[in-house]
Amino acid sequence: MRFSLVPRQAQFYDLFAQAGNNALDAARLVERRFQSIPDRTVGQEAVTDLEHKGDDITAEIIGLLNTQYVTPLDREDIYALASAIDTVVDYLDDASELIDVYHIESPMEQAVEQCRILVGSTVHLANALNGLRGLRGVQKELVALKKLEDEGDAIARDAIGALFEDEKVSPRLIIQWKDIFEALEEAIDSAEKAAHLIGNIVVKNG
Amino acid sequence: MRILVVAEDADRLCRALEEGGCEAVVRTRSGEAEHLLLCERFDVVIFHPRSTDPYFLNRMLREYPGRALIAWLHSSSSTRVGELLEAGADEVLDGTMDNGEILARVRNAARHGRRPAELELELGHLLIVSPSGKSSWRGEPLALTRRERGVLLALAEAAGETVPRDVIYRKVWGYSMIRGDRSVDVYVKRLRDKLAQAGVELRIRTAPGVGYHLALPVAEPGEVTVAVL
Repeated sequence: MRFSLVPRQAQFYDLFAQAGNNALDAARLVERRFQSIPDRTVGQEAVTDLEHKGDDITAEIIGLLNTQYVTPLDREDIYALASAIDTVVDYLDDASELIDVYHIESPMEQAVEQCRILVGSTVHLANALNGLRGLRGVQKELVALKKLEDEGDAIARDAIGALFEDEKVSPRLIIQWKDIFEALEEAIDSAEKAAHLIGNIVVKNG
Repeated sequence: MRILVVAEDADRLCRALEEGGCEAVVRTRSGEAEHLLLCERFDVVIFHPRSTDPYFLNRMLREYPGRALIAWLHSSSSTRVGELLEAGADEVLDGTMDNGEILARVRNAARHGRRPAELELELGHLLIVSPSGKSSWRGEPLALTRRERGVLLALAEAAGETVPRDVIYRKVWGYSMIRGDRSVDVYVKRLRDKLAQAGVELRIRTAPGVGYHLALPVAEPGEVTVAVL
């Protein structure tokens, strides 16, 4: 592997913007999947394709990191941020896949709400990543994302609580939906983790 | 009389039954017992209620009607007996009863506790056979799934009245509904589509925030609108 002495800094920003947009596309698709249960109008394949696309973007960022002598941001920050965005899409893919794995036949309002939070979070994440180059307008996106994450926490707690409100609930449904609620919650948390890393980058480089 | 006993440690009970000339078949697992009920005919089911399978009685009532259902307790309390009878058991036996009393109670439950194997519910031109839920409109069978039939039956049983979502869910799925679960809405939507496709003139109306009701058609002069046969 060769280090390049010609800086390709713009490419990092472009790739982060692509990763953010990809996470947003995945969240929108997963939201449609949860809303359209049991019709399966959106197949899991489309979500998995976006997950693979996310992996490719992450690999490209890491590849670029390994070949660039000069990087626009700290190396560890680039690596951590790329991984965090990738994790958002991984959890989205996991949650969406469980619809098929568990043969979910009806939607649950709380899961649809979590998806709404995820779409909102990834909108702010994508905006922040698109503004990373000039660090303009990033902070307000991060604040909005954090607010959504708090709302997501409350929805997840309520969702899991609802599973245990009545002892005569089907144990099968409890297992299925607990896994799904948790996967969606992990995706929301990962978006917040990515936002936290961007916040650190802003502090260091602003 | 053929009796299916679903219990562990039922030697005492089986001896009493066999002394009375009954044929007792024992299964310790409810799954095996339910499989046997599909394949063979039994007049009575005696079961030991277990905390690990609290819905056994519900399933029996829903899926295997036409047989007396008797609970077997090693020792009983008035509260427990009351609960079981309220839940639909025809009789409750316990280990303190002597063989004669056990037999008399089993025979009595078999005589009086048997439910009608089928109940027909007629709503205008709609006919639903309960519990199988087979349904037809103007004599033409309706192509509905088991759950769709269950939802239709739950609404038809209370035709004209609003049935809350959680009540429909409990009747059809046999469990309590989780808050936020949209299963009933999904199946009502499917049912509406299928009924409309089949030209059924009944309409399922939404009671916002509560549930659904089956709107009765306007009766023609001399026509019986609802009849339970």
